[in-house]
Amino acid sequence: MATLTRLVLVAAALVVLGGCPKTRYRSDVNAPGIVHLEAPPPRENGDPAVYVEPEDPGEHELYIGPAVVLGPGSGRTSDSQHAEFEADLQVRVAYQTLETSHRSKDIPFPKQAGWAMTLGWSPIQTDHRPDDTIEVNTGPLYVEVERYWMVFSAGLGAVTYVDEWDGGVQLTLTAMPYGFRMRYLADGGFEFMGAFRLELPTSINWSR
Amino acid sequence: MRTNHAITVAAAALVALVACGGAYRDYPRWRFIAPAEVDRGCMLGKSFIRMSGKTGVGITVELRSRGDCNVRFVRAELVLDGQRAPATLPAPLELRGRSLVYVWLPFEFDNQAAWNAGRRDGAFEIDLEVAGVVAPTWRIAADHRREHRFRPGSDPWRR
Repeated sequence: MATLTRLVLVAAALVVLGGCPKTRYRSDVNAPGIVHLEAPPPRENGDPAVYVEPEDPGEHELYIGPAVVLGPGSGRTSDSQHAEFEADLQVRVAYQTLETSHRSKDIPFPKQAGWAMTLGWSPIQTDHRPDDTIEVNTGPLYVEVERYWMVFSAGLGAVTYVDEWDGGVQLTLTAMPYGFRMRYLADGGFEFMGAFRLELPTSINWSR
Repeated sequence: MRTNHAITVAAAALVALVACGGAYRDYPRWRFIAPAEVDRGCMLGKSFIRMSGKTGVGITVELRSRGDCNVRFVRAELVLDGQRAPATLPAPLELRGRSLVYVWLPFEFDNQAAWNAGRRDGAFEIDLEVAGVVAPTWRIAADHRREHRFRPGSDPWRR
């Protein structure tokens, strides 16, 4: 893929993250609340306005967090005197049930500790050549299982370079937006990256 | 100690950011879309929807007698796209003189399934026997709808 295309891809992702106005999608499924029909309203007086509000059944929330992860890296370089740069596009998916439904201005973000899965791809990974030129390569594909609590998370998973096949494991520790990513590849050895994560908190909510 | 305070403040800010508040969730409810009053000789009837949720809908029927009047609920059903959800009927009533009583009619059915299937228009049908005579069916058209996704007035930021 051409370098320009990859740059445009990352820039477009950043624009979406910065400018997307609506990030919570609400379904009408299961919308009615909980009522107890065994007994009439406690004080019946014929007032037309009397209405017993249903109880909140809570919600299901599917969190989908598209993100751009970028930062300096080292390890996969032709000149170890230089720090490289890597930009990743990834999406983090988590599901949780909420005891109470979200309010109108709540930002969609996993509030409880839970598990997530992250799928990612690195379209940009620079390589300083010995002749002082910079080559932009395509980075790896990765999948992580992540344990999170609020902005803190630890992810562990598999990583693979497709062009010249190489495979290994990847660990990411994050205190959003800051993070640290480490990879160990069968052929390439260790890679380290300061992984600054810009995530667009997005969710789909439907009632329990 | 200073670090602890900083962490506490940061955590509080995070919680505040994620739980920004605003208006509370509102729920769909059955509403009458036709007059819900009836005149059956020795008594006047008026209905109010008091509860509506996943497991059904509950209405109160106000009975106001003009004089001694015996009233029996023969049938009460919510007719919903051809399906009928019967209510639990009360015992026969003996209204003495100018009485006022409120009768509770719970229509228990899978209201959530009906909502999900888009079956949201119906009618409450009530057959009364008044002073020993079965009166014509009292039919009240209704629909199941949600007017707001969030409850108006529950948003403290807009007060």
